[in-house]
Amino acid sequence: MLGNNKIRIIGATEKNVFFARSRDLSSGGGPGSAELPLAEFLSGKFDSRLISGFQDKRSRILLVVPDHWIKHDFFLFRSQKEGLIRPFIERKLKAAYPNLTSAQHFFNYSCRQKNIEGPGVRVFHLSEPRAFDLYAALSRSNLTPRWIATPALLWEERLNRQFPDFAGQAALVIHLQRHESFLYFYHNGDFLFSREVALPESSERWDALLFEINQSIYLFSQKAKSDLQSVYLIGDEAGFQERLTDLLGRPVHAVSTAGADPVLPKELAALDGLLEPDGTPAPADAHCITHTRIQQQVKWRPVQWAAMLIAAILLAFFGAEHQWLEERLSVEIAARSRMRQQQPMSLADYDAAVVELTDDLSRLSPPHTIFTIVSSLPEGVLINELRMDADTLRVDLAATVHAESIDRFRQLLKNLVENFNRRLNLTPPITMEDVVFTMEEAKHQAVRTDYKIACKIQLP
Amino acid sequence: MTARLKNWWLWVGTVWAGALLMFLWNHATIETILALQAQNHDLRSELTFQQQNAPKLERIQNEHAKLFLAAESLQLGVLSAQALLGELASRSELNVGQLTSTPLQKGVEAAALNLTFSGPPERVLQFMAALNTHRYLQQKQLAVKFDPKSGEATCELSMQLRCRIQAPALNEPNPNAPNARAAL
Repeated sequence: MLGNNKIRIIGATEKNVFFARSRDLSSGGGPGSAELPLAEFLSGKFDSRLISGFQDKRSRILLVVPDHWIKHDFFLFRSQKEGLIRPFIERKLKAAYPNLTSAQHFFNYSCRQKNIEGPGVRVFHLSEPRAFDLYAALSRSNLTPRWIATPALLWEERLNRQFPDFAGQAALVIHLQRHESFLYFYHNGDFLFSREVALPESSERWDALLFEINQSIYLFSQKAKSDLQSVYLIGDEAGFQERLTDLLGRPVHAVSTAGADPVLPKELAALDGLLEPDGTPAPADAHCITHTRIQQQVKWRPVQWAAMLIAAILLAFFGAEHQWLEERLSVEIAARSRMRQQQPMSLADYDAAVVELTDDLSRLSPPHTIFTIVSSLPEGVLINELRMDADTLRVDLAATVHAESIDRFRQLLKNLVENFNRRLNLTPPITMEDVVFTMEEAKHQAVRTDYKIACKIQLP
Repeated sequence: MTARLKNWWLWVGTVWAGALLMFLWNHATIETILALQAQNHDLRSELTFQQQNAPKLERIQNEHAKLFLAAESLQLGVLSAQALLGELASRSELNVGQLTSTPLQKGVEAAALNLTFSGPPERVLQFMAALNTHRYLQQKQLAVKFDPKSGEATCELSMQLRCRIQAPALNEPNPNAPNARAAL
């Protein structure tokens, strides 16, 4: 049982639906409480503002329905595995109540070992068609109940907690009120049936109650095939406990209830004593019905929480790590910026500069080349034209050779070629064949002949 | 309640997605930091090397600077080069015929210069030798014709002027680098 004052209670009776937070209910209504006719609520023809204050999304809802809206069955079944029991119960409910197609979604069970029948499951499920309609209407109004219970189931839970041997007894629980009394019969902890007895305001009220108790005990004996073992009284009044003890001939145990003196609507008098002054605690799942879909969702809740927690921790860790990394990043960027300022030229720039300088130095120097070519000319050879390309390292030369004879011309040409090869370091060297000359010599004098020569030199 | 629980999965997914994204972001940041650290290490080594070899590197820098004429614009550089050529030619007592310039390409800080001049061969050589000391004027092609009668040489010289455009307000001029004002 969890103490949780966030729980809201929706109490359904044959005619009305009551909406209240448990605090409001126990204090006789409050600003969040509302009462609507059941038929109007089911048809949707009501003023939604009446329950708007009740639609607190953070709270969970307990729907309390009359005892007879929930039916209790026992099915023989040997296995105690949930994976086998649930489909078995669904099949059983489908077969037993073909008109209640939704019943298979609204049931709860507990395993039982009975002396005569043997092992089986005790099943309680919604059996009233209006209950399904009410659930659907509540879901439409965003008031889907987390739990569905009856007063008998809630009292069963209370007595199980208060009296450890209650679950093994054939017991009668008398819930005494000013104008009425509720009788709940349990066998081995399982609810059998209940009675509501109207009590007149006279001295005969005890006689009427005792008569009804006796009748019900007789019915109980027939149903349970067992004698009543214990009687529990809720809400003692003017020594009624002693009188009852004398009349029944067995001890009557007083059930302690909440300390508050709640003022409940008459229709919800069965809940009197269940409400705590600080709010109704959440009921145990074993004594309530929860829609199968909600059960699945509730089952996954711890996984969701764990996943959320782990993710949140990871997120926080990564966030802190990111903060630290950002600081490291800014430190590295600042260091790089500082070093870049200290370094006007990178080594790569120096390397490129050296390459450029080397290229420049290895370039052809026209004055030096002209000087070398001119100094290579033997006496009697005069340059006419010189063309030089520094990029292709090519020199085109045209000159005039003055020679007295062909032998002298040959000798001059030979000297010229040798000088070029030696001084210009030509590789491959030029040969005499590379030097062309014209045979149409211009004769100036009878003893000397001018030869026009030309050659192309590829410098290394 | 159903919608709320469905939203729970959405929240869980969102937080996990956030954590995953943050992880990936951090991973990328770590990669960046490692790359930066490697760069900084290299840079630190370079700086150490540069400090240890500062004189040599400074010489390279100065020599390299001589390959370019520092000028505020290419046109100014061409103007300076033309003035220099005229001055060198007159100093060598050469007859300057024609001097033309053509920008090479848009965005290239260089221009082609063509110069025609004539004079005695020894002065031509003197001029060419003087020109050779200005390395930002790269001599490309040369055509020399000798007139045996007058003994003069007529030359056509193609050069490439290499400039480095510098905004005077932003950068301190390199004292070793040739600049347009000094050339003028």
